[in-house]
This record gives sequence, structure tokens and C-alpha cells, in this order.
Amino acid sequence: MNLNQFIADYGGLSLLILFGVLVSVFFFLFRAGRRRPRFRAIPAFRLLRGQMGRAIESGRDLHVSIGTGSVSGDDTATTLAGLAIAEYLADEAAASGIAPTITTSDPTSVLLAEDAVRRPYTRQGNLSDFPRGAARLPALNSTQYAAATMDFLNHEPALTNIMSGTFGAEVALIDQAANNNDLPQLFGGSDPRALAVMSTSTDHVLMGEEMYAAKAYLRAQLPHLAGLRAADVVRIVMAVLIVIVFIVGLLSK
Amino acid sequence: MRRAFTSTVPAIITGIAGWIVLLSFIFPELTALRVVLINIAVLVAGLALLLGFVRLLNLHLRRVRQRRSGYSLVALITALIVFVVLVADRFLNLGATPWVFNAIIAPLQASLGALLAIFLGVAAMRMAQRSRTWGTLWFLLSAIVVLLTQIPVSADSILLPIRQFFDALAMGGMRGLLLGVALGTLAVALRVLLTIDRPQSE
Repeated sequence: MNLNQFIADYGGLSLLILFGVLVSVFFFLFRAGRRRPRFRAIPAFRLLRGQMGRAIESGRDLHVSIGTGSVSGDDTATTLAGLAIAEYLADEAAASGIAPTITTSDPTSVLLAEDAVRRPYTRQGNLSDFPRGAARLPALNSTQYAAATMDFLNHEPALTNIMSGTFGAEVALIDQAANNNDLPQLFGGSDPRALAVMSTSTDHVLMGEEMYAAKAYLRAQLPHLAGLRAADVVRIVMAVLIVIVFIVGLLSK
Repeated sequence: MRRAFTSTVPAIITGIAGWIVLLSFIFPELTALRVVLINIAVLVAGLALLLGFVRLLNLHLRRVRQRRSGYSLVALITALIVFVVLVADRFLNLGATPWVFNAIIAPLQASLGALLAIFLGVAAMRMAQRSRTWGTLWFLLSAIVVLLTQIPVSADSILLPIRQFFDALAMGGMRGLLLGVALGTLAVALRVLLTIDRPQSE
């Protein structure tokens, strides 16, 4: 039986086993975790800290793009990971009565983004200060969204351009506008084309798995840290399995 | 009580729906239930699209009033014209819908897409000027090698093994990235299914 046939026959079961391993490791670490695990530093997250404060002082907007992915399809996890950064900044800003400007091209994601901005205001009991329109939907598809974001960056007083979510090669258009306006940028994505483009213009790039770790790095709460450690353990197990399968395959030939 | 309805109940519904969809890949008996859940999601997404269109008009109308950008006026007028044309076409069957997409929207997007090549070249130049490090040199050399190895070669060409070597290198890197993305996706799914993350309201 070749690998493709195996995946076709047992792909669902493999997924469930992998998920089961992840859950088990997570619970083990969560229960055993008296000490907080330590992770390597990711410089890109340093750019985020204090950004809202600088935006308040300068009177400019913080643009956060959560990309073109929806919350009801293949990109759900990527969009949620992107939204974690928006939530963090919204929490930081709520006390001052302002909010980051969050944009997306997906109508389901924009509802979630608005909710993320509104939540800190609800918690603080000052919903009347909630800036309506902080979550924006400037276009309904990826290329048009890129053009609309270029327009936003060119005509509105943005302080920083933060993009984290689902993006394709069209991110080069947004990058061009951000560079024309000398905006510092942070990019988190999982598409190799978008990552390649953004690597040329900013050092603050969250590559693939780093983006999904945003919540653990920014919130540093035990469940998120345990989840991150569980993913690390599963990654090592999978890497070892891949090497073993490769060697066995090589020897059997 | 309010918190139960705005946070706990949505989190439980999300968790149950997620587990049903996940388990339906193992137990075919759950497939019918999965289809129902997916249909509900499609319905909600359809309604969200309608709401989204209204939000889009609202945003650009506000920007026109604030005189932020002339492009918003263009977007507003175009969106309304396209909406009217599509609705009219639905009842009159003029064949305008494919025409609008094929003759207007697709060429415009293609033009914007064509700009990408120029912007990518500019980005590479900018990178060379911005940070003159070994990493930059390595990145630009890799980009040149990838471009060169995209040239079509025949099956008996001596360049074929070189191309295969670089393809294998690129594929290895890509798989490493995708493995991380897949694990990250699973970790996010785990947090949502165990209601650790609650993207819904609280």
C-alpha cells in the first residue's frame, strides 16, 4: 500500500489519533504545569507591545488586517490566529476609548473582528465608548481588498500596518503602499508566496506556526502555553516519524 | 445569566458542532449530521454576505462624506451599479452577469495582478538597499536560482538534474512550513473545541 492510498483509507483516523495525542499532551502539560514553560523569543511580537500607546500619543490609527480568510472554511484557524493579535491590541486600547482599525474582506470574519473590538468595552462596562466602524469590510475579494487597503494606507493617518491572517501574493500591493508611507510593518501568514514577499520589506515576520503562537506569546496564560508546548511535542514526534519512515523506505528499496 | 447566553452557550454549541464534524470523518453514521451543520454554516455565511454588502456601502459612504478618498465614491457607485445589474439580470435574463465579470471585473483584477510583478521587483531592490546582510544576499540568490530553474527544459537536458535538485530543496522547505501550519491549525482547533478560546462574544 502506498502513502496516498493509506491517507485515502485512514486519513480521518490518523487525524483523530494525532488530535488525540495533542489533547493528551495538552492535558498532561496543563495539569503538571506548575512552572510556566519558556519559549524562544520571537522579535516580531516586541513590535506589538506599546503600539496602541504610541497610536494614542500620535493621534494616528493602528491598521490591523486579518486577511481574506473566512471563519467557515479552510482558513478558519489562520483567521482566528490573526484575530488574536487584533484582540490583544483592542484590549490594550479599550481603556483609552480608542480601537485599532481592523480590516478584512470576508463578511463572516468582520463580524468576529467587531466582536473582538467590542469585548473589552463590554468587560469594562463602557459600551457607549465603543467606536463603531472599527472593524471594516472595504471589499469582498482578495485583489479588491488589497486595492482598498492601499487606498486606506495612502489616505488615512496610519501609524503601523499589522497584517496577520490569510494572504496571497496580492499582499505585495499592500506592502507597496505601506512602504510608500514609511509605515513599520508586522506580517503573519501561512502562504509561502506572501511570506516571501513580506520577507523582503520587514524583519517582523511571523512565519507559519509562529503566527498560531500569538495568543500564547501575547497573553502568556497557562492553557495557551500548554497548547503551544503540546504542539511542539507533537512536532518532534512527527519529525522523528518522518525520518524513520524515510529510512525504512530507503532500506526497503 | 446574560453571560451564559453570550459566552457559555455559544462555546458549547461551537464545541459540539466541531466534535461532530471531526468525528464524522471516522464514523460515517455522523455524515448526515455533518451535512446539516455545514448547510447551516452556508446559510449563516450567505446572510453574513448580505450584511457585509451593506457594511461595505456604509463604510464607503462614510468615507465619501468625510472626503477621505475619491476611490470610495468610485467603489460606491460601482457596487450599486453591479448590484442593480445583477438583480435585473436575475429577472430579465439579459446575460449581463457573466459579461460584468468577464469584461469588467476580471480584466481590472488582472491589471492589478500584473502590477504585482513590478512591485515584487521593487520590493527586491528595496530589500537590497535596506539591509545589506548575508541573509539578504542569500535570499536574493535563492530568488534568482528559483527564477532560473523555472525555465522549461526537455527530459534529456543536462539541466534537468539541477532543476530537480532545487525543486527538492524548495519542496523540503515548503513541507516544513506546511507541517508547522498544520500543527498550528490543530492547536487552534484544540483550543476552540475545548472552549479555551472563545472567539464568540462573552
